[in-house]
Amino acid sequence: MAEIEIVKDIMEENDEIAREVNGILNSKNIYCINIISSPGAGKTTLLEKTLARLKGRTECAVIEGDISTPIDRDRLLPHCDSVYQINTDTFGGDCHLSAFMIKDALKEFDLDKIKLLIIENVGNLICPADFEIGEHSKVLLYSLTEGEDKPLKYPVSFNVADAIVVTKMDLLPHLEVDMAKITENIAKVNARAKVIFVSSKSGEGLNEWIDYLTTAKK
Amino acid sequence: MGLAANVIDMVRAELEKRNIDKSRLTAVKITVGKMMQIVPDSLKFGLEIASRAAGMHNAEFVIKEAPLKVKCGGCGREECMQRGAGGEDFSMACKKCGANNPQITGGREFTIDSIDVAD
Repeated sequence: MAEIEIVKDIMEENDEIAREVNGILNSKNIYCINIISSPGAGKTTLLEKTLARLKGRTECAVIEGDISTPIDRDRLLPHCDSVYQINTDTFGGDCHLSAFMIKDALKEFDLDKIKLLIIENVGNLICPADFEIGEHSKVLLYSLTEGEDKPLKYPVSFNVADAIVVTKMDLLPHLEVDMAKITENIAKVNARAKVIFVSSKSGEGLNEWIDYLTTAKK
Repeated sequence: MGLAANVIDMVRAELEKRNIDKSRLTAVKITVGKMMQIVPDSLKFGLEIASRAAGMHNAEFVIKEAPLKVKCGGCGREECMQRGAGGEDFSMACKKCGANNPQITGGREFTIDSIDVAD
């Protein structure tokens, strides 16, 4: 019997395509964010409000990731002309987007006309954190209704985020949520992320969120 | 399951490169870092199914976990967290100087380290 040393990174194939995607975006001067959250945290609703506010200000494109249906694309099309839906059930129903999917999706856009590419990953607080897709920054959405313990329960996703957006702040009066605990638990796993509190419904925090988006891209 | 299929494709390529018949493959050694959100038992289950489907009938899979390692951005102290991140008492802050700007230096590994082949 012989032992043959190999030492190969299993993620390398994905990471290599992610670097290629990043290179394409840089060559076109496009800033790209990858939005990650559990299902139902309010990613698409925040994007509806974001795209409406950025209309006429920043040329945006959106890649929507879901296992199935074009529902999210259809929700965003009234606010943005360049929306492309990826359904992972055509690739075996993956619970996350991979770099090759983004590379293919880029062909659907006129990249010379885009300044900001927003990718809404598949709703899942686990796998999307492990797959680079060529983005410049990761934004994690975390809704008030998920409870204070989530940063500790999903530390990897919270740790890799460059910004953490706490959503559904309008529900605060109706919930027994300890805001200090939320802030404390986020800091335990990621003290460097920018933390923004928003309500897509009331508009609270949206200016700060838009400022973050538009200044981060510089 | 997708990752397991990836691993099997990579192993197959390594065997073909060396002209080794897949029936001679007896073991594949893999390292998974604690910060990769991969459950070793689930990965092993997927690898067993994918390897049998690929005709590697004699292969077993040995998965080693690599700990989460952080280096404090304040005092430079290095800490190895065997349990990984998570848990009520978990904090990335340095237990010595209290600074909370660590650099992750280990735990994101996901590699095929070696393969065993029968003579």
